[in-house]
Amino acid sequence: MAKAASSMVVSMRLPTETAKRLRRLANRYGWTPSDASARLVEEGLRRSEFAFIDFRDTPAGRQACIQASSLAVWEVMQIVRSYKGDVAAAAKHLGWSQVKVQAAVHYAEAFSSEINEAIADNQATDFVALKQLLPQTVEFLPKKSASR
Amino acid sequence: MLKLLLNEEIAPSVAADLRRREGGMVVAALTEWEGGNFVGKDTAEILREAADQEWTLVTYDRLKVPPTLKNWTEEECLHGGVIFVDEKSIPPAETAMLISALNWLHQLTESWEWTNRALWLG
Repeated sequence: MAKAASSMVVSMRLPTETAKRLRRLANRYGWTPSDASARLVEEGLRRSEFAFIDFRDTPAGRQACIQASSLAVWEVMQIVRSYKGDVAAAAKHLGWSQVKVQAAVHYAEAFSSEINEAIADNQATDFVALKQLLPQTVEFLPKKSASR
Repeated sequence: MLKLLLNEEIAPSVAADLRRREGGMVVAALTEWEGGNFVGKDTAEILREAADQEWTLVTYDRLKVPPTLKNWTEEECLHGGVIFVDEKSIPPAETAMLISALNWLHQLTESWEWTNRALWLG
């Protein structure tokens, strides 16, 4: 999740136990308590402002996800774009309601750089990058094999 | 034996179509696998259960899945094999193309031992 470009100081009074939990969370991610609280507030605001949106820890960092699904918003958008923006077709593909896919589209419109960056990162992990991570990776190319 | 578990970004209709084909492919969509209990679970949980039951995951996800597998490979933990689909060659919307590619892959690799394999389907 991208941080806001500009910032202002807002002081907050927290219960002692909450402050301890915040510090523990910050330590886990290598953040300062101030950074952790800013991120949590931003996530809370987005959850409140956008339907069906949740945030989860993933091996690729904290990601905006769709509730009751394993999919991150960027994955839903990859499908929507594959259907050339046809939300109804993407919803049918996933077996979801259109409104749920539309929620991902609205989030992606509001935070386009975050979503575009995730899609670009996924695409950048091509066969060469993948075999560097997982040396056992082999390539199968159905089209080339079929034309032989 | 190759048992394909299609990750949630793949249309469940792909699994249904592949099951109808000759040759008795064992395929499940994540939304139906284990009663749908793994929908919404994190990548490591899905991969762990798939490994225990010897299912091979098919996915377009190269952000969340590879880091988990890299750690497992370094720690010598076994997984059930993963097939990474290249969206540039087989776009998610082109389900017929994916069905054809998986059917072809199944014919060629049915007898393979899939533990710890990683395959790029492009």
